[in-house]
Amino acid sequence: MPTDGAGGWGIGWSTVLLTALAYLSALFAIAHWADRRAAAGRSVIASPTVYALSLAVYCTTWTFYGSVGRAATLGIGFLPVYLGPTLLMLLAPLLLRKILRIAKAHRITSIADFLASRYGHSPLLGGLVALTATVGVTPYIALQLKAVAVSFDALTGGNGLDTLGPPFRDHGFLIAAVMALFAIVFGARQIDAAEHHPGMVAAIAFESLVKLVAFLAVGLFVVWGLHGGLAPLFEAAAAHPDLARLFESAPALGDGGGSGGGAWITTTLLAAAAMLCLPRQFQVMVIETVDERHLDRAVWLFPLYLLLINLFVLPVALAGLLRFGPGLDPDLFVVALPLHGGAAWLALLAFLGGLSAAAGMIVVESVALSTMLCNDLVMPVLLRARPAALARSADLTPLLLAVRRVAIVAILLFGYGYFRLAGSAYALVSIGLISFAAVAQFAPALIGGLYWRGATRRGAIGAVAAGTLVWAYTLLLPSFARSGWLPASFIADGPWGVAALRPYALFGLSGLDPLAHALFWSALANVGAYVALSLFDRPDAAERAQAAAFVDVFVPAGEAAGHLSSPSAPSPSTDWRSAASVGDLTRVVARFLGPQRAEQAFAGADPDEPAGAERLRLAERLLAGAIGGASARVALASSVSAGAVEAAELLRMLDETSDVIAHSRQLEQKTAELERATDALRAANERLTELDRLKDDFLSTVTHELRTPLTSIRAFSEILHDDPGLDPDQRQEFLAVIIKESERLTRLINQVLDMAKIEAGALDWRIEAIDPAQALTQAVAATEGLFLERGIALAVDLPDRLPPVRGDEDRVIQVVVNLLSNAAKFTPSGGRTVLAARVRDGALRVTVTDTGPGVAPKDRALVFDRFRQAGDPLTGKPAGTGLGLAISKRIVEHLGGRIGVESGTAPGATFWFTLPLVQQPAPHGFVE
Amino acid sequence: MVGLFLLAAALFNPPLLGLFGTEGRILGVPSLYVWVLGGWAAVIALAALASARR
Repeated sequence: MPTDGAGGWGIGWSTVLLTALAYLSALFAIAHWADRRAAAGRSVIASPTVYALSLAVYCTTWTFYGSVGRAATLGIGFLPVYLGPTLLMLLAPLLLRKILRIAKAHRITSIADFLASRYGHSPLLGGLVALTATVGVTPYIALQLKAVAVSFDALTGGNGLDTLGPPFRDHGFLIAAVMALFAIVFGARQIDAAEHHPGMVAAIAFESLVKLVAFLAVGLFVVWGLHGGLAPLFEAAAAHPDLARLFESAPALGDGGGSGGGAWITTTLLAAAAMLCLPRQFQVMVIETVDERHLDRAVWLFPLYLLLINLFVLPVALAGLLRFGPGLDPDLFVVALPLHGGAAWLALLAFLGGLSAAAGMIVVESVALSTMLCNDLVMPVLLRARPAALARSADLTPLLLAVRRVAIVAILLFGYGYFRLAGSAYALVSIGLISFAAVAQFAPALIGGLYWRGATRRGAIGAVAAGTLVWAYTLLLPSFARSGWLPASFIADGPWGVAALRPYALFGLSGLDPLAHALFWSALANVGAYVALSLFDRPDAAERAQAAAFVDVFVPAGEAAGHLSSPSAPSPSTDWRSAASVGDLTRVVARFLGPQRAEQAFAGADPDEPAGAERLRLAERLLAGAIGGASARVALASSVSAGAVEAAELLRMLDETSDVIAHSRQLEQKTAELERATDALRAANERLTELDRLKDDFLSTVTHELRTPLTSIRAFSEILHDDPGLDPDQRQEFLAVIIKESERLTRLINQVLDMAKIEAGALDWRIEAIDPAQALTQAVAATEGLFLERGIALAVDLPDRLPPVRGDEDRVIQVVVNLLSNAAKFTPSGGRTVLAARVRDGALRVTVTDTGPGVAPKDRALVFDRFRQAGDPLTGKPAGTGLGLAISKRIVEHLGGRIGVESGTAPGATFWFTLPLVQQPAPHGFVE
Repeated sequence: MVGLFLLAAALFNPPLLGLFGTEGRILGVPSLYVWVLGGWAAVIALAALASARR
């Protein structure tokens, strides 16, 4: 067994290899099982926890091995890579939910498809994004292969790259081959309109668990098994000045020079952008989502995962530095420490953790990239270049699958080749953040496209192109130069010796670290091109419609895409009926999705029937799910039977359809507003009519009430006038009647005026704390004479002390007088009336109980209405004006109390009302 | 959530980080390490609370 600095207790390589293969077989089994469960309708990935775990595909070997390496030089400087995604997840309810909703509505298949669809189904933009992503991310795949190969060697006692075998017979190639197989089997087995891969996601989630458990186990072993706890470990490290340095913020926040935390902030930003834009993250986070609500748990569960997997990074780094010194690559500490500590099984577990990290990343990334390359690069080219050949084929599904499988193999070969070629060169070591910076170029167009309606296709293309060019110049090319593939003078002196063009100090901008420098310039070029080109651009109708559909995805509208199964769905324009036929569409859809799906979609329609705009949209949506938005349009155009309609014409129709949909959505909104206004008007009209009727009723009642006393006044006056010889007694009697009736008239008019004032809100209220006992006593004094005159006993029953109430004293007296005089009127002579007051339920309750005829149950609710009164049971004549109780009711209610009447079977009735006590909170509408 | 985002962004960036980037231990663990991981855990707990409320 060869030995090295890691200790020399290697594990037999056959053991490691067999374990690794067994583990990968287990992954296949899990993926297969999950696919079967999903097919049976009991998908394991329909769980928010599985969703959050699948997001952890973010943590690659770069996390598993590389974090320790970064911590060994930067202290806590490894953390921004995980803080960035944490921050992004906090914005998930705003940002990610919108992306998820749009992706679902438009059947988005990748980030390239998302951007292409947003910017007017631009094939150019889609292709550009697919290409940039591939170039930017494939080296990152190489890094995974290298990490697995190197950790394998460390475990078996080999010495890293020195043992690199002949090409295609080393473990890097073995891993790449197994991964390609996995990606093909579970990522490109069939063309699914929703682009879901339940088996792959389940395997990823499982791998995430394995790598977390492995790292935590290593961490616990290193801290407690090797060093007896955190404090002794840090104590030991503090004894070395160059290790104690790692406890401070200086190494993490930059080189202590003028950068002032530039590296820290840059890395945070980049990591957040990468979390959103890395093809594999977009795949698991957006494309594979089965339920938008899963985000709610991922918002905290995914950051928690990141926290846990980073918990022991610094301790492991310190322990490794203490034990091995600078002699061993810190990236290998995770495997080397347990191996050296005598826990070979733990080292093997750590290796499996790293393998998980690599496998998850490679599989998802290659599936995402292959979808992107197929839908946004190869298919649009094929459809344009060889439309005739494609049109002859009845079923293109095998072609699509073949393209994707070839793409997967090509990507992995490319990655493998880079790994063999670059080896331990700088270009590979630093590729993680360089990849992040490449995909970060999509972020402005992605986020801008969600919120800025005015962003246009040219703006987005310009942004991605400019940003990527600057990225390549300031990061990629220098990394080649550092690897020795370009002359070193390229960095030091600039190309051709032009100092202003030095890639790490472009135009003389120095003092930043290379990453922050590149991010600054590429962001400037990117956002600058995006905003400037968008502002000066005039997008066409189709592009505007797509922009509106993305930005306003949450605006409720009628069925935006239209429900397509009903053949009677109205077509926006009759011209379009003569375009493609249903048969044409069925053939296109069948070609890309298989005949079953096509039959399903257009079932029940006559193949010769004109398709109409609605079915055209359906076909476009179905195709977009399989081959991306940009390709779908070209495919449609190229497929319609020659002569029926020109391809360009068909595309124009599609554009106009989306335009019409956008317009009709606006129209719908306007119609809804109009309807609401009409309803409001109708309600107001009804209320006015009702008021008018009430006014008429009131007038006729008042006139009637006025006429009665007037008639008797007039009759008696005429008698007095015509008969001067009337005897004095009779004359006196008649005059008394006239006076009494006049008083009644005056009272009536006063009350009508009061009523009108109350209803118009014109009465002056003086609401304050008043002593209820005093008001009641005054009311009794005012009505005592009446009771005396009619021979009724009036009893007053008040407690010694009554708390103050809120009210207007004069109005309260008016209410009590009304009730008392009412009682006096209806109580027969010799009867009895009781005025009582009690505090109950936080209010003062005043009751007036009489021994009169009582109020019939049917009248109880009515007596408080205007001019409703129970007539005098003896004469049938009304005994009052009919307004007293109505006025009392309004006064009491205005003061925040209630009023009512109780009447049992026994003779008599009890009128009561309440007033709020002062300490009670003022009822609503009562504070002036 | 937006508030939490701003809080976290302030918490994890240089001016405040610099404060803790000095000597000193809490239970034998460097204070910077405790501050960042503790703050991170707190932010996660708050996010969990906030999303449970929704």
